[in-house]
Amino acid sequence: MQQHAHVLLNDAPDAALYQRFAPALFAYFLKQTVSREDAEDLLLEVFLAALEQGKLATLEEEKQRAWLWAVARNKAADHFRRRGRSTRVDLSLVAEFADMEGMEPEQMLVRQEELAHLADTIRQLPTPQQHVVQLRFGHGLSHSEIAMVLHKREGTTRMLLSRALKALRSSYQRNER
Amino acid sequence: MSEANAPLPPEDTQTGHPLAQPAEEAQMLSDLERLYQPLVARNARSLEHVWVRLEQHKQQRRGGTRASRLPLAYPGLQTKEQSMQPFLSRFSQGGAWRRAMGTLVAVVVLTLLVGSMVAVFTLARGKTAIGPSITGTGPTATSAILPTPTERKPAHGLGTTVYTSPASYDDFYAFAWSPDSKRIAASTQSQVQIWDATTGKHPLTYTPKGGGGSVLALAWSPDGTKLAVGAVSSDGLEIINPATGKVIRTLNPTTALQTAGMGPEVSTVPLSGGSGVSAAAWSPDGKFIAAAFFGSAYGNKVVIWNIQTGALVTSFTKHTGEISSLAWSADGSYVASTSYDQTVQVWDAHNGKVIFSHSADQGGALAWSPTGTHLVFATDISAFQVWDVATNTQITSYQTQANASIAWSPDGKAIAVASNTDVILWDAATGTHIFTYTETGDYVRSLAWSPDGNYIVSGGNNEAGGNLAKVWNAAPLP
Repeated sequence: MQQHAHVLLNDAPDAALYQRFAPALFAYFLKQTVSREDAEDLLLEVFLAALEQGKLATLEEEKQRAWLWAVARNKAADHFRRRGRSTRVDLSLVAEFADMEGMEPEQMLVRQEELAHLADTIRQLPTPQQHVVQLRFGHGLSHSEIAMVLHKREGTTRMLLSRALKALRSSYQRNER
Repeated sequence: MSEANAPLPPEDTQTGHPLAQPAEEAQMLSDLERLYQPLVARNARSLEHVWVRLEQHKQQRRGGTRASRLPLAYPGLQTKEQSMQPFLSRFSQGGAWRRAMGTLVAVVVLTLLVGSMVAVFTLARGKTAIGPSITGTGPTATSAILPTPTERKPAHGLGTTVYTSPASYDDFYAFAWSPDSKRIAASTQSQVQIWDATTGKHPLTYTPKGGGGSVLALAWSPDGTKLAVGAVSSDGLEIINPATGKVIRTLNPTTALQTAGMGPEVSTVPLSGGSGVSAAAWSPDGKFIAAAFFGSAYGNKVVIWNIQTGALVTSFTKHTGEISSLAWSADGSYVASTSYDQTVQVWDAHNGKVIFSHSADQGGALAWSPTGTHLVFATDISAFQVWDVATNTQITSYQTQANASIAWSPDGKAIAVASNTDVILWDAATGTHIFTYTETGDYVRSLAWSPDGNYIVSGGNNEAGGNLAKVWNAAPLP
């Protein structure tokens, strides 16, 4: 993966920085703001600040992470003063099964039901678990990134994801029978 | 090794639980991937959009070199698919949805190419290539030509909700009323939905040809026969027939400049993602259309065309940030524009000469009074002001949080402001509060007053999703 990034971003240090940190920062802003536009604006502000700072790309990854997250939390705080904080996170799911090429109608129906069932099961999970599942599968974040977004310890978010998947798994097994 | 960029291996998501039934487990993980696919795609688009804006800032700082004319995608890459790759690569490779995405992108790229060729061809011929067509109209389109007569007199009091959009529409960036107040056009994510205003009947869906990006601009022509549609990642402003959903013509500022022989900056590079149209407005007589463009392919500019000939009248390039709102004065003389550069500018529609300028909220909203003498705009995050443009004097000021949308009632008496999760009606003359509509349920992104003054349509683009458009009585005002 690292190699892949090198090929892509050989002479673009700020692109590498963006690629590495933007997804988690964006997930964080989405959680904090009322609109996707606001989250995009805040993300832009953080990386503009990084450009101003100038030398960020040359620092070690840990220092980059610490710097970017500190700026992000400040930007979010500024934003709340102006626009107000979002009170809920979008955890909605649409169980639409679009990719059904080569399937028999009965098979399609069964798959659709299975997917709807999974969505239902997710909706019944406690909110923190739903959130972790979303950050993992909807944002592609790692455990440490999820921990940054939720401002929790990594052990906590690992446990949340583990519990969520366990619940989903058992529901799957019941569903199969 | 950056953990962030690595797909989480199966045993990682297990966190200690053995893979008892690998097939079942794989099925569950793949189903989870499917369920979250729409969110993944939206997030990748957002990340790309921010990246493109970041690049624009960098290029502006460098002083707009020749390089800024190049299509601006993710570093070293050209196509949308590749540019989104860095953000999609976090997910397991070869998923079915990724294949679907690839196909979609291929279609989009092809459409872009073909679309821009058509636009060049159309403009070169100097006339409309595809007229409003009555052939091939489907059931919805046919019925849409003759909207069901609806009861126009509000049966209930101010603020009564008469229509709520279905949950399948979401994210309302813009609204436009037909001039007879019978139909509403709304941008819902990357599509345009048109319906009978108070009943939702005779729905018509239009998907912009330039593909994929949010539809930020909608404007219905004064004679009702055309709808201007502008999107992110579009290849120009699309003029469609709102009754059939057929494209009448596509107006592209790059080719227009070329055609009109204006400026040396002729781009032969196909336009890629990250550019688009952010606002559009018709002249009151319907003869001209103004559109605000952004992105590396265009720069931040407003372009005015003669809609009949496709000839470029003027282009306004004084904004240094993306233009968020555009409005034409009632007499057709002036265009007002506001931008992320934190200014509002009023300029002559014929030659682009600025006659009024003021600091403004970043990316704010504005509206003209129906008489065309007064302009209301957000001055900062918590206030907006009414100015007499000709005399350069401030008339009124309102302290309220201003979202990105504002409308002046057709009778001139009231101003509607989207404010956080409410729409607030203010007395335009005195600045006193008239009414607060609270049933939006979410952050209000856009609103529009019906030309007959009876209704307001408002809707949000809250990330929490489930945004609804509401049509509610906005008359009679006290």
